[in-house]
Amino acid sequence: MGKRTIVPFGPQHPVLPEPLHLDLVLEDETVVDVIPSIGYIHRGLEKLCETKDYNQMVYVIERICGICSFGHGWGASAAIEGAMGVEIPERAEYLRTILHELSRVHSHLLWLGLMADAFGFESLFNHCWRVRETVLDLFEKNTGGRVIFSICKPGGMRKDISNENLKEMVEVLNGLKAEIKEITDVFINDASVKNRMTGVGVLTKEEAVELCAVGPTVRGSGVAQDLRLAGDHGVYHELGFEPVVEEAGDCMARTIVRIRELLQSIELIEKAVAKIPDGPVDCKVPKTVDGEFATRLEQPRGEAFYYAKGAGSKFLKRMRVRTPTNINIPALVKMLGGSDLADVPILALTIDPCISCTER
Amino acid sequence: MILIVIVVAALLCVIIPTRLGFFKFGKIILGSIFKKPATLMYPVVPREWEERTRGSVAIDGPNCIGCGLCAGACPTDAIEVDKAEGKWKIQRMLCVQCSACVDSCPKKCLTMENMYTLPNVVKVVDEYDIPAKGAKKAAAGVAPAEADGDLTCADTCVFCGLCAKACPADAITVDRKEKSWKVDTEACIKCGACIDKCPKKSLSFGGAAPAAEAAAPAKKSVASLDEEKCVYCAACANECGAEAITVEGTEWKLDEEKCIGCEACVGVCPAEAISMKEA
Amino acid sequence: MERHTAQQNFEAVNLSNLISKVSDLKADGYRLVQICGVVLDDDTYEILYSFDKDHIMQNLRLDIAIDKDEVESITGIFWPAFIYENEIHDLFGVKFNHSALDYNGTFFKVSEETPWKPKK
Repeated sequence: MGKRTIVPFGPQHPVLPEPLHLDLVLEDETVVDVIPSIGYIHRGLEKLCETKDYNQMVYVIERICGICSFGHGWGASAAIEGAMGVEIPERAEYLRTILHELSRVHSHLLWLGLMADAFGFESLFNHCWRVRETVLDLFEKNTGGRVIFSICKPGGMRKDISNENLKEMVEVLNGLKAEIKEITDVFINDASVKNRMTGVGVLTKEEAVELCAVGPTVRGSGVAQDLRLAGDHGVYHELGFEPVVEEAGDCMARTIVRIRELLQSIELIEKAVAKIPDGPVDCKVPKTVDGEFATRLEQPRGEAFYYAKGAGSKFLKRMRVRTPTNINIPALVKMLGGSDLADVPILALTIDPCISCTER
Repeated sequence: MILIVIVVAALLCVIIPTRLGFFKFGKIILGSIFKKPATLMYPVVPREWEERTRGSVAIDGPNCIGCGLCAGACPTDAIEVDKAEGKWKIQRMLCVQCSACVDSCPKKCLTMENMYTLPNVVKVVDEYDIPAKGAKKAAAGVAPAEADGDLTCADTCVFCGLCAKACPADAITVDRKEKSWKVDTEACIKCGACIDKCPKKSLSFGGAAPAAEAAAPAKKSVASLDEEKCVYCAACANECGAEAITVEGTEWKLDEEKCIGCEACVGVCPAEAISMKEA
Repeated sequence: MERHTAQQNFEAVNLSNLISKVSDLKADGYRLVQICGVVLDDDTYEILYSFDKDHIMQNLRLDIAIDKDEVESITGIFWPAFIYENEIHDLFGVKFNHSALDYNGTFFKVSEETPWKPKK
């Protein structure tokens, strides 16, 4: 047994855009124990529900994170709608599903780029982000924002998206398919990428379930857990949705899950646009919220939990958001145990960490 | 010596690409050489905005009534409305471009411009002139004291409830059954949306009921029935505040003289058989 | 598959049967979704435990008196619960006993202690 050393990883680290701190206990080059520590950017956004009314709260929750902002807006709206007992029009559900899948495309492309950057493949990183830029342009055209969309509100959508624009969106995405396939082919088949990711950070099916992992992290370990299957929100049940599952449980499996989801999302958007009914996109909601509602949504990073409790006024008593990274940290700790020090950055990225989500 | 270098270089040229999967990526790289850059030569080439791009909030000052609904809707408290001074202020650094204020404006005098505010070294607070308290009415020859009065309803009221529906501040409550009309003067922001909506022109500020000629609307619209859809449930007749509708058996009658065009029957009809048409 | 609203299953538990309830859920194959603290009034917190099995959520509600009650940690049953328990400890000041991984109030870097505790 070698001498034990503790190496601090983060809060400032080139691979992490956000402050996550890990104390790595090393024996020679091998990680034997990890103590995660967060809390560097805790902003207490949930607490704002005491001074911001429920409409404003949706804008606040949306700004928790720039990548899953649409999902947060939807989740918060859905929780508030649930507490009010309001059912939104069909077209709004379709639009939300389409925009949510579009943000999955943008999130996964961003992650693939960051992953390429983490193992030093800079030009691949640039190409991923170049493709993502087209998706951001689509967002700007249809919602008015590139990153923060502010289009969801309790009771539906603030703006309708015309059928012509939706058709154009599908055309643009179909045009991207070839490029995405070309780029993702490098991730799957390139020798250097394979060497870096295959067999690294294996999380077995049992461990993933035991550690309550969510999202691509758990689906990469062979568990078909996807909130889109539940049919609570959106119109996935009408689109014939099947979750993407990979069995290997290593970094490569998690990457392949995201790549396949990327292409699946484009197909889902295409199906949804073909089926979208005409009609109103919002409905009247009560002025006050009473009652409570707990619900979940499948974000690009995994399951996110939203809980709204009304106080009988326009303010909420509690607005709780539990993000996917939060519950994936224990899984990350498990993956890191026994890994090489050099693999730590890649493993930290493979759960797609979002620390501003985690701390809110 | 040179020969060795060449041989090594040639070997590297073969080994490195195969090892690093250069050929997988080669097509993309070679393609990029002949393509235009993906980036924009900013600021030489200006950015083109989409119609919906949210950049910065702009105000049409003269139309603002200083109701303060925008300041109430703003999630970041970036907007301050000073009606007494006649100023509308926005802290540009606090604004998050959610356009909640634009949606809340009863007078539609706020708009979202495409262009963001330019970078600055200080936190800018932009001030815009809006009509000060009472200024508008004073200019129109009405005494300011009158214009500042509380919202009142004359006894021509038919309790149609359209004012309550139009009120952006939810200050008005109308009970058609009890024939009561109430205003929460604290909540009232005096935007005048209810006055515009009132089919009987019964509403005014400070009890100065508008003259009789104002009560004659330019065009009168009345209820109209789609007989194919009607189920003759008489819900409309029960709802009608002006008692203009009668339903007997499968006969639906409207007294156009009595109809005030309040659209209450349209809202209550379960079969969506009633619409409004010009009288 | 039918469209339906997310089922709302809330069940009240108390300090004495919390651990046995959570153990039962674990034995049934549930996984932990989250734990959150809610301020009910100046003297009471509600701690909401959410579990999931086959995409159906089961919530447990635990009411505790602020400053008086101490909660038994469920990290022995669901190890990932340490994240939420430390968070609730740091923000609300709830004490969790027998935690498998206790940060002793250093999990979140807060400028004042227990910022979300009701001020009296």
